[in-house]
Amino acid sequence: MKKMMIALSSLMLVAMVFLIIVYEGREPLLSPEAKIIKTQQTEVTSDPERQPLKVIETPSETDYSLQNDQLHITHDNGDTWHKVPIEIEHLFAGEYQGNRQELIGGSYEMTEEYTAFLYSEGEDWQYQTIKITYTDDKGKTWKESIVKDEALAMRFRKIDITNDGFWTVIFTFDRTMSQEASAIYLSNDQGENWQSISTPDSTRLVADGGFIDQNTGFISYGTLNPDAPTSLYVTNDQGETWEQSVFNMPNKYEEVFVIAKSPIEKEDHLELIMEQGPNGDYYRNGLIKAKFISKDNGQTWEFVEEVEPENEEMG
Amino acid sequence: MKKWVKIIGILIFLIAVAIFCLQLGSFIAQPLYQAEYIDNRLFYLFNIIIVLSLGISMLLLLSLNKRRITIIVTIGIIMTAINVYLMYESNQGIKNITSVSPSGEEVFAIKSNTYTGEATYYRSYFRILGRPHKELSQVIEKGGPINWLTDDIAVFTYLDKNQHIQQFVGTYGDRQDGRSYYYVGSQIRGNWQGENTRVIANSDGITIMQQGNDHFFDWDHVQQYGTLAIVLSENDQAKWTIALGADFSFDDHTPEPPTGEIILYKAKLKNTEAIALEYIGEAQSMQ
Repeated sequence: MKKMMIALSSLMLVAMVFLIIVYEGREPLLSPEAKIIKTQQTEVTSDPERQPLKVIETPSETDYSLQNDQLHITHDNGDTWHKVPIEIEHLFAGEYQGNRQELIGGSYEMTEEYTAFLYSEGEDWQYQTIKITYTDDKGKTWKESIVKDEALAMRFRKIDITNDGFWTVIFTFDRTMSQEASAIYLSNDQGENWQSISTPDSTRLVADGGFIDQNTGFISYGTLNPDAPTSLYVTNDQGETWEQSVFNMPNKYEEVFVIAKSPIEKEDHLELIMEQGPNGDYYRNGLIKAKFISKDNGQTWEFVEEVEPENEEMG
Repeated sequence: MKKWVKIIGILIFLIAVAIFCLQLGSFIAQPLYQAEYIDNRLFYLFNIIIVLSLGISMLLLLSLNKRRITIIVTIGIIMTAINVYLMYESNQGIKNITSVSPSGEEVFAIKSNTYTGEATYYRSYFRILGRPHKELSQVIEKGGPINWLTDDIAVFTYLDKNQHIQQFVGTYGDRQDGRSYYYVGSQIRGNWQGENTRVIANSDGITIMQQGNDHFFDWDHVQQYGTLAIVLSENDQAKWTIALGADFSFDDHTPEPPTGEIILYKAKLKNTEAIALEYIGEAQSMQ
């Protein structure tokens, strides 16, 4: 006992001296802001050769470029460019496995009036600030707003501006295997202020989501082995209540078309495209999709036809 | 040896071992979680406690001759002196500005590098660890008081190198469900009355009326901290902090006015009294 105590005490004192030496020589920790400044300083000293900006086309009149580690937008097919004040790292922050050659689908919205980008800032995944940066004058000036402070890193993300000027952000976080949490934020003042609304009571992985107008929205679940095609939830009261949509699917397509994309509005009805999912093997290597329409604001959906990928208008 | 002496000796020895494990843990936390002691001096303080605890427990538990006692006491004094000196020295290079909330649950911490002038605000974890969160926009020339306006809002007033008074606010809570970001300025729209003081917030900005003096700040001179406080500035100097009181509540989906208090705190280097204000009605146009 006596010897053990003396040995342990001596060991602790020796270790303490060692710890003091290490503690005295340690590098100071940097805040996220300081790290960015340090990175920028390093980049300035090793300025890489600038490349001409390459246009990446979008379905809208606005296109963009990610060349030279900077996001730019153009409205005239690349003749003039406007720099978007967002760090490229922030645009791809969160759970993302792509090659960064194009923006993450859903992380931007380009309408005639607005161009908006959804991204997150923060040093580690547990402490992210989810933001949008947007312009209403074709990129001449930019505004920034916070959607959610102190958030976890995003996986699925989507920003939408509906025809009636209503902005929505849907994102998911905290994924564990095939479960995750989701959040929906709405803005009634063109992206300036955001408030959250409730989401459906499901923790499956979100495949898509969106709002048709300020009351009617959808969330579609299941990107890994979807077990049924009926994983689309609809709200008609701005998220107060969510109900599962009912699909009237011909028998032969059951377990073929399983992942619903977010619906779009057509004259007097809604339309959506349903895909076969990553394991789809219906003919053409799973590329054929199905079109459904709804005449009751998304509660029930009727099958219309198969859609060849090249004929698809949405998705 | 008396039984209680033995028990106390063992307890003190275990305290030394536990704190030593904590020290080791703090070294692991730095690379893994980008966290370190919220106040750099804690490292040396814990070392001193370890040394003293080991020394006392040995003297209590072991039957030692005079020579051995002298050795233990000498080692204890040397190690304590080294740590006291390093603790003092460390606070010369990195000045720690730390304050614990009245409830004891939050720690406001800023580490200011006296050589570069950079000051970093730390978020506390488990009360003793902290992560660098935000750089202060101004160099701290002279630190002033840290005042906890509520258990979750700490205001630090300081003088920058241009001899301008600045205020930095640490916030540790929320007055809504914690899920949304909201603007304090729009939460406090209206007319607020306190002792000899009135605050009017409307779409143009904020007016502070005190003892016959009106002072108007437009929204470009209002900086928000977290979702609990704003600092009003003029000519690059902080003038006032307005914070949402602990009982403040407002639902902007309803026509109901806000309930609870807002707190007005003047930017001064000596500690001043915060003023609580209550909502008395909608704001009229100021100009």
